[in-house]
Amino acid sequence: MLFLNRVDDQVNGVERETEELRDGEEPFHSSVAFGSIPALASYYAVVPKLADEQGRQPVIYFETYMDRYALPIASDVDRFFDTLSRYIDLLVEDEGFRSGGKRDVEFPDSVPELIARDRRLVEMIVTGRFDFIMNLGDEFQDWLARVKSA
Amino acid sequence: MSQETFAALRPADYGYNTASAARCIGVELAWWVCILALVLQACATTGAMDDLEPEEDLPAKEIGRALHPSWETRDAETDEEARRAEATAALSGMRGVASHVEEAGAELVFRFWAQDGVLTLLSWKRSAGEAGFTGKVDSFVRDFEVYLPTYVRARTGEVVFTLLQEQRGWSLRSVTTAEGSKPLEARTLPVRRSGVTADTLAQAHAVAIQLAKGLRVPNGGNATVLADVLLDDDRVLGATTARYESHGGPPVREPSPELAAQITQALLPFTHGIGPRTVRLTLQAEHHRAERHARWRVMEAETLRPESRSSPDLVAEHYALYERILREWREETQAAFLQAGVTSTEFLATWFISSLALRGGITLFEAVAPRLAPILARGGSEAVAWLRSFLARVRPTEREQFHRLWTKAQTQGLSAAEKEQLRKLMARFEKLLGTKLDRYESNELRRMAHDDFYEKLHPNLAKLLLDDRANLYPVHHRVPIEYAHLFVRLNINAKENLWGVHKSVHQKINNIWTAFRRAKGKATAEDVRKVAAIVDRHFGRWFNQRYEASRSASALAKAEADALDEVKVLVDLLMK
Repeated sequence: MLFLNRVDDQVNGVERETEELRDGEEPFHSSVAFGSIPALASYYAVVPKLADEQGRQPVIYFETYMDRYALPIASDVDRFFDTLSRYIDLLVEDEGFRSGGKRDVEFPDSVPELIARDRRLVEMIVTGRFDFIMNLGDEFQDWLARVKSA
Repeated sequence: MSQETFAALRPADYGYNTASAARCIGVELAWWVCILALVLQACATTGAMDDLEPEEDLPAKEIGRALHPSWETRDAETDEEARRAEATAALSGMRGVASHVEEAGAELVFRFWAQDGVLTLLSWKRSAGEAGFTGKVDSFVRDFEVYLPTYVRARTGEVVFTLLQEQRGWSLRSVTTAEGSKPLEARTLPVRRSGVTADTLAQAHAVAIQLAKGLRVPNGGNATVLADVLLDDDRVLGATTARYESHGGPPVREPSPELAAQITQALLPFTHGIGPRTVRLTLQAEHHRAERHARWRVMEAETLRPESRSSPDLVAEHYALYERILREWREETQAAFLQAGVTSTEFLATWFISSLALRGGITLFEAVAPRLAPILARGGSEAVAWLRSFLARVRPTEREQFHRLWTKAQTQGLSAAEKEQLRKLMARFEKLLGTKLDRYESNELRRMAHDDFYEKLHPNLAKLLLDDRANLYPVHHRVPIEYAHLFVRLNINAKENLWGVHKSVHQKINNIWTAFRRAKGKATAEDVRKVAAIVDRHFGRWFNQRYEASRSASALAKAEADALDEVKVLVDLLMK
């Protein structure tokens, strides 16, 4: 599940989550988390310093376990939900998911081609805009190459 | 034995927790917007108060014995209904046996194990009545169905009912009780089903026919037979003749056709027990020269128990676990339960370890799974908990295949092709043992850890470890899931490996492990243990404790800095 942080007159959940995560290290330093997977240390966040001239901020996914990698997954929030909805279309067809067990498609790890539909994002990756924040280990080099070449 | 009249009714004194307090709190207080189903998860990484030994077995006694499995669907009302069904089933069994006794003055003595309203027949015995044939008497013990539950309700131990055949019908002559230890086959959980299944009936009848077919009595002579009937749960598997004696010449006279029905009725009340066992029947026959068939009587039926090579405590524990599973199977026939039951890791782990202990099969398992066998052969709730965590990594289709093949192995034996299938499946399982967990597997184990931690292992902490947005603290792994493949025998989700920590503390601990990541390729289990010990030393004060940022932020920052210093020294050493 994806939980979106509450934002209303009483509570600014985005601000509080970001404060809690704030750290000198990346990806915490430059990101603003707007959602998470409940009870997991897995987050969806925007990166304000990478905003374009229209103010659109790209979206990253990161986990705060020992492998502090961050995957760029959309060029803005609208594109993020577009990609996510397309992932759901794949998921409901997945045999493992349908039987309540291990699935073959996992977001965002196993769907680089889906993420690469966002060409503006791919351009940002190729031009190195995310290099300071990604911190990808060997296990994600293939994912990165597939996004770039899709 | 002591004569007893009525026992006081005991109110239903337990119920089942059907909703998790932790989940309720989360649902009520968290004001998140749920968008899509991806994964519901815990967290994981480090944590420990004590050093870990390599490849150690962490005790997890709470898992299995004290937990109500998620697949169990009971409540107090259901149990009340089930206790009534127990009485009905016991009466039905006694009535069935009595229906084949026709002499006035004959006595039938039924010995049950009673526990919390549950009745398991241990033996019955028929004594000769007065001379002379009286014919069938339809009237059974009057109002027995009313009084029986009262007799047994508060009783734990043996209860013996002696019934007497009188001219006007059957009467209850006495109810006596005796202390004793619970026989293995005796159940302790009431079951709502009062009859037997069509399969059980068919099996009992087939065995009875097979047994009756071979019995002969000399012309005008008599015979005695001891027959051993093999039962496993409610299945009647077959029968063998343990002893045969006859007097009066060559045995030629066939039994009357009624004998098969008599043997069937003699057996059926025993099919409510659990586990593998033997029911020994004592049959006596005489042939009257004027009659065509020999007249047979089943005089006695008694359960014989197999000797177990496991320790009595372990066996008792497994029977307790197994009984829970079996009750669900016996009562719940909905496809939904079967589906959930077969694929659920909890169900399968409990079922497999219990059946291994109850019925053996370790030799076969060792042959097909030499690395898994010693881990699981230790038995008990530790093995159940370990297997449950392990099965979280296995696809549901493979779990089903495992369930199907092992059931067949236990009940009918495997063909060569099936044995090969099992061997291949186990080879796939064993390959997982030393393989690093992928992201799905890690998240699945984290989800299980989170649920277990707040719902089963520490339900009291579900009210304490809440942050200011009413979110439960993350649950983190003392030995990180990322290194689980280095600790093959360790149940990564054992209670001793899980701690609830505030998100801020968790993040700092993860920073320590991130620093260690540089040496990940070279790290051994020993190195991982060292880092876990460093984390324990510096962050242990916040394990399973509330964290107040206003009071502890600077202490937390210092803990992180000190731990980082130590880990960096360790990493530098490893990278040299």
